[in-house]
Amino acid sequence: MENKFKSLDKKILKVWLIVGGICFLPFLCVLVILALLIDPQYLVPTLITGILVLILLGLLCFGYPALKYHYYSYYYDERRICINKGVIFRTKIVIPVCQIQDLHLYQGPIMLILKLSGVEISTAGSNYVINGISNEDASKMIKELEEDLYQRIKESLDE
Amino acid sequence: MNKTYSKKHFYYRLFINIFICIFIFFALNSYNISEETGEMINPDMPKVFLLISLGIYIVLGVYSYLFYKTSKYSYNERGITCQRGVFFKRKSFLEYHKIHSVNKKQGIIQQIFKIAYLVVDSGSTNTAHTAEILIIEDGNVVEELMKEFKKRQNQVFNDNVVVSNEETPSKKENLFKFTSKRKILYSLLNSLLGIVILLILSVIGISVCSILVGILKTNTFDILIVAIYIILGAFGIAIFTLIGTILFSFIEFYNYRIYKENNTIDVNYGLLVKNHNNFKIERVKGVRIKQNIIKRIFGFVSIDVEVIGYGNIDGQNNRVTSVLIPLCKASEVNHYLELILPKYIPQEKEHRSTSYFALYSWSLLIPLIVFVILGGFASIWLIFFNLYMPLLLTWLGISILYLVVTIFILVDRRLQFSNEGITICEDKITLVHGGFNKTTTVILVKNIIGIDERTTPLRQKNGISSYAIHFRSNAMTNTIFVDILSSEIKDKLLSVIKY
Repeated sequence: MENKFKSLDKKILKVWLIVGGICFLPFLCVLVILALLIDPQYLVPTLITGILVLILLGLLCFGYPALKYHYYSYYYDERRICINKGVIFRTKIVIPVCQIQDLHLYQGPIMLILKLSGVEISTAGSNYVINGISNEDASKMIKELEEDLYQRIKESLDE
Repeated sequence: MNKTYSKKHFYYRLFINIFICIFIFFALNSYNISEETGEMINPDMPKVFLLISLGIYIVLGVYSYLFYKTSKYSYNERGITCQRGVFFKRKSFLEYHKIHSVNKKQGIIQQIFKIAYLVVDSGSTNTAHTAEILIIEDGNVVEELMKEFKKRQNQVFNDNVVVSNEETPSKKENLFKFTSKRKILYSLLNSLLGIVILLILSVIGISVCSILVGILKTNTFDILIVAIYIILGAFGIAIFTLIGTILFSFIEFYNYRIYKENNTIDVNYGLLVKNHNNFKIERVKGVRIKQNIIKRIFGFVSIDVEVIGYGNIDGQNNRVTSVLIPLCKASEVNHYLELILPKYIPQEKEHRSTSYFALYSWSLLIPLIVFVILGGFASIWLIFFNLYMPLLLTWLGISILYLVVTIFILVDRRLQFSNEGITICEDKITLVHGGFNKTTTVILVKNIIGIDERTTPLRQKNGISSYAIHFRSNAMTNTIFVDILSSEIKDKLLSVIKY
């Protein structure tokens, strides 16, 4: 089963880096404005603190997505859905198909441009998201899961 | 036929709105009072504030009237329909066979106006924190509706049981007696933990003052006065907490009764807010046996039940609290569960935590990283301005704080190491989790909806994982964690899930 795990579409990395950039930019702007407006006697410690914060933020906004992509994989068949994710704290999730209540397909504005989708799996109490697969793969996944779910319900009713 | 909510609810809202407007008036007026002299800044402003408060009262009154006029409910052989909302209308339909719990709530002012709230919930966890069906009617009408819905629910379940028309639950056997002695004990145990924490904080506060005397060469007498104030303050808070908790337990759990009839459990309690909760045993998703460190020392526990829709939202912790047995001895747990929910009797721990180091390592590392980063940023500024004494004090303060955090974490994790465990049977799973607050959760295997295995690269190498088990319950309480077990348990867990 380990060999059948699929990775996310590579384009999702672009999405995460763009989002990271959007989060990073305000902090950069704040630092630049502070550097221009602050009293000269406070300039050096402000710049040092600001640069250190930006380095930490940069690692979070640009370095972490790359690792996140590397360690993310998913797999599904007629009985279960498995998701592996996490960088330092690695999580393996197993969801029985018969516990699925709803399936949702969603796209944010950046994902829409890059033709990516997210599949949200709702069970009776928890929601799981596989974020960053191509539109075709996402539609295929939902269609197959719906058929598998219908089959499982039919089998349990027959029992 | 559609029925509207009781008109008395409109009068009740008009009454409550008076107090809201009085509060708004005084709140606005407080800005008109000078802090220095204590007199009004502008003597004409109270008239303006009064007009504003009256305006708000009229708006709220109109809204309450519209709410009364637009809210309707009805029921037929299939289910209950409820429509409410003035600007954002919401119409809900709930079939009888999907009802999980039927609860009646009546606060003290609602009792005066003789109205009650009837809340009917389904198994949908996404709406577990809001009422799917809410009916506001006269108190006696609500009682009749509860009986009617219970009867129709039983018909759907095909129990072949004639629902008793008796009004008084006292004719049934009460399964749990929450005596006055136990209520006082409950209050003592709940407030003792807070008092202990307060004492620890007072000792820390006095120690810090003593250190400051030595370092800053401050007047000893001033520091002594501060220390006395700290002790008196702590003592006052402790007494106030104890009295408040005793009063609370008597009021909240007034006339606490549990009845079991056919396959239905009734839980009634409350003086100011009367709660009458009703749910079928099949709708129970799990049982939690909770024990904080103080309760554990004295050998007591409390038992909560997980039923979607049953419970109140605890504003502080944002959890749904659904009490079944507020307090009993640890040795009585099996006795009460045998009477009320025999399927949920917990099993002895089979698999235990395998590594104490793995439990505390990340808990100590993350605060260390945060403190070092914050200390580093502060140091940049202090070194730049040649403030070496404050730099030393900063790192001393950080070290003391980290030491306190470390001691707390080490003790908590040590307790967790001895508590943590899991037992997996064919039909149910018993999980024990927590350090200072130990929780034993029993869930039936058929209610498990997902399993997460969490690990790190180093733990994976040593065959150690933590597990999060998702089960059908209220959206806020549907995950149980159990930490640092052998990775071999994963296969056992996966083998019991129903695919």
